[in-house]
Amino acid sequence: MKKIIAISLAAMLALGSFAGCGGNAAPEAPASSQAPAASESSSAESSEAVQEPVTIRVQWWGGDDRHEATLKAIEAFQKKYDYITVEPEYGGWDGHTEKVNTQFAGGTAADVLQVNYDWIANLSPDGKGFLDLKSAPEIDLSNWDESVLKFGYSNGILNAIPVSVTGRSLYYNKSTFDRLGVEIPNTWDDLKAAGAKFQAAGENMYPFDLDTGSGFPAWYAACVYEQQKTGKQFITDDNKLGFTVDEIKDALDFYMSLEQSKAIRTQQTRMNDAGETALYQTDPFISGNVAGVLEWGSSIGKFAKVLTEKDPPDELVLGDLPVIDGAKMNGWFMKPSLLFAINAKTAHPKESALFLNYLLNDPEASVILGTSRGIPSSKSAMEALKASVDLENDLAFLGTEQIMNCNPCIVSPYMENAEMKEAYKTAVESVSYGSATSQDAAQTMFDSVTDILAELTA
Amino acid sequence: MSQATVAKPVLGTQPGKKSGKRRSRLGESPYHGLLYITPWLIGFLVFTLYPIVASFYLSFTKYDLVSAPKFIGLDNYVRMFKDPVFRKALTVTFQYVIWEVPLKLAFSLFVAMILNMKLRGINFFRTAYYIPSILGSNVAIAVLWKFIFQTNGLVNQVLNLLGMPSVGWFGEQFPALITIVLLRVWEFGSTMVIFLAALKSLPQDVYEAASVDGCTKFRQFFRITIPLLSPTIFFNFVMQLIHAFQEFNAPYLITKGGPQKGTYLLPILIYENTFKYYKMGYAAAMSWILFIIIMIFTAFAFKGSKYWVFYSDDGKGAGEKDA
Repeated sequence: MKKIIAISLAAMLALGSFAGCGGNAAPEAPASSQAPAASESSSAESSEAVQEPVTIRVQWWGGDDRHEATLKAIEAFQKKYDYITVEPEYGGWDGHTEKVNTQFAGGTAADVLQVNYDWIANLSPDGKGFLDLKSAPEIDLSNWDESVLKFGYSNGILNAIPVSVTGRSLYYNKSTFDRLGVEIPNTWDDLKAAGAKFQAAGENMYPFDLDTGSGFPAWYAACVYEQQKTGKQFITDDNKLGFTVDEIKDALDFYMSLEQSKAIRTQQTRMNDAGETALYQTDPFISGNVAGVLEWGSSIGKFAKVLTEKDPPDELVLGDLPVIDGAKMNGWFMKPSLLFAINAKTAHPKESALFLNYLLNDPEASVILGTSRGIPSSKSAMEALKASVDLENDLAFLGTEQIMNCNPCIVSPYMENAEMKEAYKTAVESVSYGSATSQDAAQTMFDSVTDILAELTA
Repeated sequence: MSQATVAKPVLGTQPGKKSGKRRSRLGESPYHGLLYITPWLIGFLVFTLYPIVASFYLSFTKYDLVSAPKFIGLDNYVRMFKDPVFRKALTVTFQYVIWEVPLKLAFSLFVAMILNMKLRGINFFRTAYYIPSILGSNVAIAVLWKFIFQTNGLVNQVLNLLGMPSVGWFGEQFPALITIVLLRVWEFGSTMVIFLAALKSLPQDVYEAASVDGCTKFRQFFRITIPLLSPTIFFNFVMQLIHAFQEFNAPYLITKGGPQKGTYLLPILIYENTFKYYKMGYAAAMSWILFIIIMIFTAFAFKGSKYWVFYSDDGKGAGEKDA
């Protein structure tokens, strides 16, 4: 008898401790469910004369440069609208999606949110998860071309506004290249040749870096190469897989050729060097030993920042987009870098819209924010920025301009789906570790990507 | 609030009448006790019982966190057995448990034996050795671990000083798993304290008798200490088993389950399915499988315990000791 009790107690303990995991988000619930109740009444009264104080929450992810700029913009906004308090919630990209998903499921998401391209389909499949921005007169939509806004629609409802468009470009640590007397690469072959020269200088020296992690640069580069070679889109406009098994294999082989020429570290070396830490936070990059990165123009600031802030500083420069000889298309990608949306459940749609408009269109805010979220797609923000900042030397500007002018492919919203990324990661890792031939890895990836796309578009 | 009112009549009916008068004279009512445990009760119902029931229901549904759950019967459970990632995670989880639990028990017993000696300043050491456990599942420790084991990290530098080659700790599956195991073994404090308490309460006369009979220290350890300590070892074993199956923080923070899913423990798979792939129903089903696995292992541990656990009072004192 005693043992039965003991077993069931042990079982309870086991259950209790993993139920505890989910509890994290729950305690917040009471606090925020009170807030809307209290404020609904206040916003109803306040619309006329004296404004009752209102608090809105705004959420974003990013690096330090973006945090600092956004916090300053919030301060300026609060000076302008003294009855609105803006509570910032921010952090790195890691785990941010999970956090926001949890908050959405629990009904505690912030009022104004920076959202990623693929979130719109996930969080608002019917278009009702976010506020219909066309119904918010506070936001001056005439600042955007419809071609830019189209990224923000879900089910025909304007859910989000793209802050900027972006694409990954190649950036190099010029100081390291100069030290070694190596030219900045212009083609894939240059890059491979640079690999050999870097190896000669030290076995932990690499001209470039590609990881398999959440941003999947490794597959990104391989995919671009294959698009150039075949002229086919990896994911077609009607959301089907455009590559055959052989073409995926060829792309993986290309990735391996970069590893073998020592242009990039192997996945194993990357892991040993710093586990899964983001590249710009790791010693090999900061020290300049790994002297290149394939990064979004909108996020390159944090990479430049760690290099310019060290002593003596290193210089990060934009390299050419490599295109193979006889390319059938340019192959490089463009996507909306980030979008801003307003939670459909917000208690303060008016104030949230005011804040959003300030952040995206106001000349003052545009100057404060600079290019911390890429080159603004809003016309008024762009004008203000051009008038006050020297953009000619701004990496985010140069990178975005490069992508916009290269006749890029548009990234499918499904390309960045988490399960898809897992499929790329598995494929790249298995060829890198040699645990599967590129043929087998390609077959596995082909099967899983086909399945995932079928499920997503069903 | 509501559960307090539901429970009231139940309690009121049984002891109420007889002792009621005496209690009210003391200014107490039979409901007082209930009132005192209400905070815990609410916590239990809202944060433990409700999630358990909900996850059981969700495990039979397709639920993407946004739209309403859709009932799909046993599909999630069927799918699991065809899912190679689930099988990989399960294998890795068992590997982890097999390494972590015995290593941690052995190491904490070893340290407890040392700290049980009569040395100068022993209290200082007892505190010092407990510190890693206070840091517990601290994120900073996971970050520290990354630095210690990276290519130019402390461990490799020490290895190089000793003339040994560097080890690529995170790059291969097995060493990566071992770094996670080592992190948890390093946090041996709480098991060690329980061992230490048990060691201190062992009867000294048995050892004296053994010494008189010429028994070596080594033999004493295996013939006296281990058998007398067996209820404590058993308790620690069960606790560590349950904890090990639920390990999440360390592998998630240090390796993200990599390389090649070599540290992809089941709880990470569950987490990623919920919050990354929006497959709450599937994740709920997997967490129930994990729960059943833990149940089975715990039950086996209890079943097997009668062959090697000796209670000095025929098991009567087991409950006390374990508490």
